Amino acid sequence: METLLKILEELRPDVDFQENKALIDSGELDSFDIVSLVGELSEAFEIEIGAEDIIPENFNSVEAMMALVTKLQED
Amino acid sequence: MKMALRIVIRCVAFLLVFSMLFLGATEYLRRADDEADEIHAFYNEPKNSIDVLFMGSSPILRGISPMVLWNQEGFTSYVRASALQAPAVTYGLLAESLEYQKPELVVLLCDNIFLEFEYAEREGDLRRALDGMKLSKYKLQIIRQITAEDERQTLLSYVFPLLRYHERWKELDLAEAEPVPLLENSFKKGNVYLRGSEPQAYPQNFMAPSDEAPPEFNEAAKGYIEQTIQFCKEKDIPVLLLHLPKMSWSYGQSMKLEEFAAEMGVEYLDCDREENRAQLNLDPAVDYYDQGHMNLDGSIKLSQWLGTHLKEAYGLPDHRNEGEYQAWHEDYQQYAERISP
Amino acid sequence: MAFTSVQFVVFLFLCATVYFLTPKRYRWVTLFIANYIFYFFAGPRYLIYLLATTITIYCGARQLGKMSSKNKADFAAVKLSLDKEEKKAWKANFTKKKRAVLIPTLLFNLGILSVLKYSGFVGSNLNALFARFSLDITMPAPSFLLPLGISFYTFQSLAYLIDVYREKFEPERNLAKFALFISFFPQIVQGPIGRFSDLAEQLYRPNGFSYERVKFGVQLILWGVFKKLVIADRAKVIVDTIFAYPETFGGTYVAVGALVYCVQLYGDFSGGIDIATGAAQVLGIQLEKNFERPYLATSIPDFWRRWHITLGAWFRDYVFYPLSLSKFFMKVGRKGRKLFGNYIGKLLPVLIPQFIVFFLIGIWHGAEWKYIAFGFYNGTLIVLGILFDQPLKKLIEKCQIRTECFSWHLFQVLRTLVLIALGKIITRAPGVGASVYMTQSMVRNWDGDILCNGGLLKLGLDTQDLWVLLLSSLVLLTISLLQESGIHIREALAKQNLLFRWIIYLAAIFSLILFGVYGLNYNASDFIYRGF
Repeated sequence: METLLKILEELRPDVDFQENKALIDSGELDSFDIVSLVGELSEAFEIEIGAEDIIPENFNSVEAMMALVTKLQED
Repeated sequence: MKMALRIVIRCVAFLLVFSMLFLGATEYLRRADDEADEIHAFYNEPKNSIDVLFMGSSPILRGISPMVLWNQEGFTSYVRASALQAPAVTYGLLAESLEYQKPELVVLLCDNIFLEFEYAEREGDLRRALDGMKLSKYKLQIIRQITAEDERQTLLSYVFPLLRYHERWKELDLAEAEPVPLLENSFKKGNVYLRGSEPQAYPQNFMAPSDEAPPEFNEAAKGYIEQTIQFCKEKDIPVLLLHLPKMSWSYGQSMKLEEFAAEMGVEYLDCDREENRAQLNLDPAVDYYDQGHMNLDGSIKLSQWLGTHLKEAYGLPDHRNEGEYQAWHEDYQQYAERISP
Repeated sequence: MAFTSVQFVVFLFLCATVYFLTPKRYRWVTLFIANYIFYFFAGPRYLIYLLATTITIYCGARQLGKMSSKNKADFAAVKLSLDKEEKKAWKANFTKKKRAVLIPTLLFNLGILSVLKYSGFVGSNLNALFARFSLDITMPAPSFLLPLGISFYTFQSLAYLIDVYREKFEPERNLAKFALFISFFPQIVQGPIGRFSDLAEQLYRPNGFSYERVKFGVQLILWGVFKKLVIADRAKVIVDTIFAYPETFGGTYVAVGALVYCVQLYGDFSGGIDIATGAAQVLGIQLEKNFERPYLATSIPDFWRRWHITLGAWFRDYVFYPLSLSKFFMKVGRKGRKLFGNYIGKLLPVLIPQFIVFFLIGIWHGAEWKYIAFGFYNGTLIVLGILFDQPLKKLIEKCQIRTECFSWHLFQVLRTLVLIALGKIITRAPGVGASVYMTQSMVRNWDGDILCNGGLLKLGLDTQDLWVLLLSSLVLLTISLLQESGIHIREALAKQNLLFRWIIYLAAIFSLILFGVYGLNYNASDFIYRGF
């Protein structure tokens, strides 16, 4: 969880990841952020995030992202 | 249920308001036109009160005065004509007129049997006739013919003229604009006379027989004219083909029309034939508006002569002492006042 | 059947009436039939293309669906006995099998679209090239009339297929139901491009008659017709004149042309979309938004999130993400970071796919060099925007420019508008050369006087028409600003008093009737009287 937060804060220091639960829907994170984020996440957690995983539900909050990472790690 | 009823009532009410505004807009934006007015005022004549119907294009529109005919002979008539009227329009207009009237005689001007009617160039003339007509199966028939011949025209723009004239909002002066509904009642009975004159002179060898072949009939025009005559025959109404004075007329054309009339089993009367010219005694210097039309004076002279002829030839009635026709006396009063210089 | 024609109104009315009278179980069948009737009117011989796409995508999807279910079952059985490496291998193997179904189907349908759309262009340009090198080869350069909506329904069905491939949902079993999804008549003409997950339920369920929905739908249609007939078709007169005679109308006229073209294009396109959305709403179906006040955008990327939204979303989900998240571009990212440093390296897997996406969006518009140029223009702007985003932000901070105020916001909007308008010159001008000529002329021969000295009256519209254009555009702007601040116009209108509502409706309808650009361009005032 801390690794994830660290990556996020480095990527977008201006966004409040603790509070915001609608990061995608509110437009805080855009497609460029996602791509960079995915790159970092796949390296850090040794997972493969595919285009089909890029849905708002998976990235709207830190918790959702953590869930995605965990799910992909188990597959 | 109550909600649904309220909604339906509201929608109906809205549609009513909309229709009123639509009609109002139509009246503000239509181009006021005498001929459309006269065609429309026809509907106001009491049913079966017209003895003679005059149909055709502008020579008959200008040249025949039902008021003169009434005053002199006592029979009633109406000129349901318009400028450059298409044969298809004449047919439809006649058929429609016969739903409202049972005349003793139909007089048809059909010089246009020689011409091809260019629908695409005559939108103005078509509309001035159709704008005066109420919606009927005949009007729809004519519209169908128009849209077939000119693909720019649409059915809706003829049924709802506002869709054609909507751009005229630019011409309206808001301060002075007023609605111009179609005329309800006309004392002129369809005659749109012209003041002014252009001195004419009979060309050399006017109406002299010649070796030149006369022009051919236009098949489409002929078709409609035949249909018009046929329609009257089926209703047992005699038809008279009439030719009014025209400087550019020729003997050949006159003979052709006479033959045509004979084929169709109807009478033909040609005002430019020598015997008739002598009786008519028109003065080309003052009676013509231009080479093809009578002016006011000419129309009076012509109507006086024609009135006598028609009364005798067709045994037309005299209503001058009949109570129901009092309105015609009043109309004549108006006419007399208007035409005095 | 044009959206602004009487036939469409009649068609929609009949369709809706029959739909609501159909027993609930079969309502979707009514829609299905209506769609095909609508398409039939567009040209029966084009039906074959629609059918080809429908059938191939349907079969492909069903195949993929079957493979996925089987795989799930098989994998679940052996999951626990496999280690990480073996699991990965299984997955890779399965993906390869799926690809064997996906790729050919994709290529077949994209192939139809490409051949119909681009073969003429490619052929004639190749021929020109061969001629240049005196090679005696002639390629066929056919010119095809495109079937109605082929770009739209192809994209919509490809999205469906890829979603099935991604196991987002089960494929539709009923061929007719699937065909309904692909051919939905409000969408098929010019979008919005829909997603199966949004539309399927709405299309297949029996939608009930709702007075409010029908009312809102009709209002939206009215608004769309207004935008098209009063604003767009009027603006078109000016735009056509300027772009037809660039030598006569240079200098400031070019700027006028570009800006008015922005208005025309927006009025026309969003008007059509509104009619489509309104029509669907009458039937109880909510289509995706395609426009969100695009000219109020504050940057080029923002603009593309507000203009033709469903197309942008399509490219994002089915081109951009697959590309940028692919192994290839991940590698590019890593290499880039080593070669160009962290900043650019991180951006590379974004920059290149973005450029590709915008390039494709450019040529999606048509098969001409100017659309390729347009693609480059957009791609370059996007790339530059991304590259200089951070440095510019720092510069703004240094100069102490306030960014939370109205004046800055206005600056951003105007700056974006200028860039967009310049791009419009490229697409509207008859060719790349012409757009270069016109842009140069605009800069060199700028003469702002024409705006005041009657120069605007030479473009085909008289003073009164110009006023109508201006005022109706202001109405559009006002509505846009209201919407931007969160007001939903139709709902807000419904809350007002009856009299006010009726005045608005009547004003709208009569402005359409009076000011709509329709009918013959004939001066109804003078009937030429010719004596006969």
